[in-house]
Amino acid sequence: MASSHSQPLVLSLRDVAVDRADTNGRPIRILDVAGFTLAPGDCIALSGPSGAGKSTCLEVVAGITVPDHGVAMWGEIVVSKLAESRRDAWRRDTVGFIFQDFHLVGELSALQNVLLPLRFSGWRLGGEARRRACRLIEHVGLTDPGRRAGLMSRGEQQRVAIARALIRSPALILADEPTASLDAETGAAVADLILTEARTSGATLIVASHDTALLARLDRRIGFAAGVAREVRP
Amino acid sequence: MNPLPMVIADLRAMRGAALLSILLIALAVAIGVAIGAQERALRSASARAADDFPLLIGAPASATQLVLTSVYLQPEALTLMDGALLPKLASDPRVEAVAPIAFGDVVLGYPVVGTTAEFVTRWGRRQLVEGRNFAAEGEAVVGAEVKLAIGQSITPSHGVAGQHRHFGLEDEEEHAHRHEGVRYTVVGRLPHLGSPWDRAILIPVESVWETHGLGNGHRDESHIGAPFEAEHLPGVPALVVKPKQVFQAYQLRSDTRKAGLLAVFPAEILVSLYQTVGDIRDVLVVASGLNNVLVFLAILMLLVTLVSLRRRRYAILRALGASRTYVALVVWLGAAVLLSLGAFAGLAAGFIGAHAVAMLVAAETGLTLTISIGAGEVALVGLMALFGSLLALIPAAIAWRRPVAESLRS
Repeated sequence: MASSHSQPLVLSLRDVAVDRADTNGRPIRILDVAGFTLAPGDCIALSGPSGAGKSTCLEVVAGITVPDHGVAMWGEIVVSKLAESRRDAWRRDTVGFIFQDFHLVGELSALQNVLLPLRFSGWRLGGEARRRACRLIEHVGLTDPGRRAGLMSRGEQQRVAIARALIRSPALILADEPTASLDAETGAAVADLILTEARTSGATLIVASHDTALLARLDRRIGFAAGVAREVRP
Repeated sequence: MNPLPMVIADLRAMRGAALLSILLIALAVAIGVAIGAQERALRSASARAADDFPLLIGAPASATQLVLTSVYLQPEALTLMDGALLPKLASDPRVEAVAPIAFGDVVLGYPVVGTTAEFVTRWGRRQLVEGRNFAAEGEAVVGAEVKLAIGQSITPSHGVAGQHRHFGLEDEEEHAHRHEGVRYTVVGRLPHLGSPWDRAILIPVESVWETHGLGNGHRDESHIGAPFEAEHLPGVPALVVKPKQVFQAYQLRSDTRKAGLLAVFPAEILVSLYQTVGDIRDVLVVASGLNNVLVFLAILMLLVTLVSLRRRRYAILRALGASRTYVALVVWLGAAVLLSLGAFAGLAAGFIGAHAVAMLVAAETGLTLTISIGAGEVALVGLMALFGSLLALIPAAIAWRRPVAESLRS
């Protein structure tokens, strides 16, 4: 059950392409990545306008979307070739996902939301898991773990979502527009939190964002335009 | 994996729809449960009421009517037969006891029944709970539910066949047909029998005859009860016979029939009535079963729609690392809990409903129905819960199959 503490490995995408049928049924290429490689612990940004392929790229990395061409690899593991159940297990043990709209379960408390990823593999949670969740909640700046998530402000919800992404000590943190639904001040605080967490834990971090303040704080940037990815030198 | 927190969250999120679903299913299941429980209670109560009437003899007419009027005191006029049969049967070596039952009068809506002191206590099977048995004309013993006190005096009225009774009230009809000058004094009360006799006023059969100017069955009119003298007996509507042995009961029945009279075991008549009631029950049970299926399918449609509306919620779980089995389990458990809760709430509601109907039946007929939930009802509900759990696999399968990436963006 407990968190897996998997070690960050080299992440690489090679010749990745994702096709979708358009409204007339013709295939269109929505993602085309010649390739990039991230060393363990790299923090990079995916930038570009909406619909340019950033989210799809994150989904390929997370093993949610299987590319029509090419491979996504985590160390020696070819994630994009794993069977669905193996990909689910790999994602559970490796990835912490943060969404633009937080996507907490509004009917559950902050604590239950944070513990949720541990429920996917274990029936009973030990006291240690609960203590760790409470520490994380406190660490992201919240005081009441028993409060219902649906009643929290947007900034507080994103903090809970970050704690939820961190509960299994992921080696790979993926954030899709983590600050886009927040005001500038809250967004900056949330961005701080994500960057600090990734750097202190040594996890690899990929952030898809429009937020120029956030983009500026990451080591590398890959720009997207009409599905095509290209490394951008800041 | 532990899907319970998500199941609880899902049920909370749709509590309106969940409550409505449980209510609808409970209502549908309750109808089937109530029909079964009610019919069984009716059978056992009516059979119990007939226990004290081993063999009934009457003038040739409808056997069903003889049973309904004698056992259940339905106010209908029975054709009289020659009273001489009473002493003849009393001296028959195969007969342990025989009692006449004479009807016709009412007091405050309660039927007045003339019989012997021996039959008042059902030949010793029942003990009076208050006062004593009648020992002379002008005395009366009342059923447990008759609202008359010991020592109270009453005047009977001539009853009208098929009249609807308002127990405890004297209506205009009754007031207009009073036997002026006839008075009875209540001297005792019977225990609760659970039959329409709980609402009867029992008087010596001699008093019934005398009230109607028919003598009293004896040469010397100063005493009541057996022996009766054939030449002084007027006609009687019904005789209850308690044979010594079962085979003698059959002999007596066939001898009486040969004499051109009606002789029935009430149990026989009840069996044929049960057959009809049972057929009706079967039709109702099938109808309510189909009803249940329709309600279940409607709720299923609702659940499928809900899964579709929540595809994003479940896709998020997948993105966070949940397997498709976990998501399917959450959906299945949620749906199965709803459908099963509904079915079991239906069991309780059916029990309560059957009780309510039993109270109506008791008010109308005096039959005390003891409602119990039998293995049949539990099996029915168990089957519905199982059926619901199987149906719940459909939304679960839909959730299992739904691709994550598309749902994530919807």
